[in-house]
Amino acid sequence: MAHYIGQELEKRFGKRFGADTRAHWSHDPATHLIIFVHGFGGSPVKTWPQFPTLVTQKTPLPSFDYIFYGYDGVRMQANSSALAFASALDDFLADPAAIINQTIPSMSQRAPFSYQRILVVAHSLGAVVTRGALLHAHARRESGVSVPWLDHVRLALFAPAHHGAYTAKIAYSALTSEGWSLGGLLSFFSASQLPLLDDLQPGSTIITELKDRTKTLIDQYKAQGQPVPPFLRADAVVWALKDTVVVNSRFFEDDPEVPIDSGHLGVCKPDRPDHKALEVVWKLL
Amino acid sequence: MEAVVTVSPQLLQANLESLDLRFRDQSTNDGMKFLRTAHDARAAIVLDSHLLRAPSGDAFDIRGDVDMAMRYYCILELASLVGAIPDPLPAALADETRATLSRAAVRRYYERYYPLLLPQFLLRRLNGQPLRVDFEGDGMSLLSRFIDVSSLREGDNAEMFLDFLDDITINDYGLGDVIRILQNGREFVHSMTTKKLNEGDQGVRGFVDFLGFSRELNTFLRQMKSADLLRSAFFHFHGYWFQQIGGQVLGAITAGVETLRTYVTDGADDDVIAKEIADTHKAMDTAIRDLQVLTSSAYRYPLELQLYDFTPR
Repeated sequence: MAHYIGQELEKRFGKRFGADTRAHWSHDPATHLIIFVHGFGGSPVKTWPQFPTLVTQKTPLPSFDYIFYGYDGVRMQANSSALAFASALDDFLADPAAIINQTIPSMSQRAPFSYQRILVVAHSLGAVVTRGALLHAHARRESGVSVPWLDHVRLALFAPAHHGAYTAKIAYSALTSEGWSLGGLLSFFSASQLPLLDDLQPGSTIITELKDRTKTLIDQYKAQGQPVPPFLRADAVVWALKDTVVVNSRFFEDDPEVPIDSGHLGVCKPDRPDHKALEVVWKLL
Repeated sequence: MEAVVTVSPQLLQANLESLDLRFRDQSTNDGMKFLRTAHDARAAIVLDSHLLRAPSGDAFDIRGDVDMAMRYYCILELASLVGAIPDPLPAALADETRATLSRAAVRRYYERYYPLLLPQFLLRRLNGQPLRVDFEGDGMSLLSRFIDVSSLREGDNAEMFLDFLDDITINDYGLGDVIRILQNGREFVHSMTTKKLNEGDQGVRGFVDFLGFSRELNTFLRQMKSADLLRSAFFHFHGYWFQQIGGQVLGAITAGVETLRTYVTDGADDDVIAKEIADTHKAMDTAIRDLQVLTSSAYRYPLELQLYDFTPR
């Protein structure tokens, strides 16, 4: 399956679709979309180095576009990032062709369409941001706004931080790898400079709200005799067996975990086609 | 193994358009137009060495556009090397590019004052002497990954740091301010976290971004097995900057990293934290090592060998 060279959406659209977000559009009209969401201190390019090359190597697969969504995973509060992500999803998915056609060759312009499936692949803090964004989208729908794309979302979470993280450790782990120069300087930071350090503490307001809102909604669906929708329950959760950063524990109705023998950061960095992380993504396409 | 192109002509044309969408913005087009149409005397002035003639405000802006145009020619050559775009290039683009790159003032600019090898190989290609490289894998995927890695160098902050490296000061801020801030942990953290950035803060963030970019680039290049010439060609897309930071500047950057190292605590009771501290030191060592490799001739040499006559006389 062939994709065009990645386009930097920020250069054309400003921050409408996140910061430093990269989009790889399929040569053929796509029915599926994968959105990768990085974690604390990560980036759209550095968190998923081999994924773009490896994920396209299996056949047959449905035709898909993929986006590496970017946000400030160091300085911005998780809730603010979740709101911005929800807004970006709403904006893009309302009319994907209108955006895509501005960044692909004229000979390949697409007619208006909707994706049949939107697979969000999130790592670490990205899981908190993603779940928060989907809850915002649901709240908008409850208020009467049409959010048709929400029913097409599936979740694959890698080393998710939705139960919180051992904050100093996540900072060390993420920063030593993604921005090593900050790793040893934690003592200089105040909470106001790095609000995420507080956000990700188990039992923090953010984590508690995320759990409470999810549980309340799940209970509502169950009380009405309806199945729990996929945007509330991850179809795949990958735990890093050597993870010392996040709290590994099942999140309500999520599918049973897939263990991968790696650390917190390595879990989303497949380096060969038979890596379990790729299998997880392929299975959900 | 020779690169095997199995994609259709339509796909190659689509790839070229895709590259244009990514790399031919207004500034690039303005630069290409200047290089193509400026009168000889005007071109000679604007494209003169900044050491011989400081560019006027107008020329300074045009030079920015010209560098974008050069970047486009570099990526055209790389895309041609990996077989991702039509070979030969569409006639109109080929004729225009050949005419532009053949102009005396333009050649002086990219061959002598600010040496870039890829436009030189592009001109050779357009004159019927294309460079051929051996590599394994899908050229388009390789190019796409390289472009993503390269974009890490192109953020506003990294550009600011690179301007500082190029002896440029902006609002009185320059490389010295970056080094000064790196020498103070609190100032460094302030620069990395403040929402009101001045040029010095941007330079510091650019320094960090540039180190991250260097690491990713070195990883990318190392992973290209048995493809010395192509690896060298990819390196030369950024080669100018790594030549700029060789020697004294590399020493200053290394001093900055070593200064930061003094803020890393020596150890911890918690095994995990202790490991992370050890990893921090290791990452710092790796960062310096990456820069040493990238500023050495390791990647630079193979393509230079193709271009220059090294035969002893």
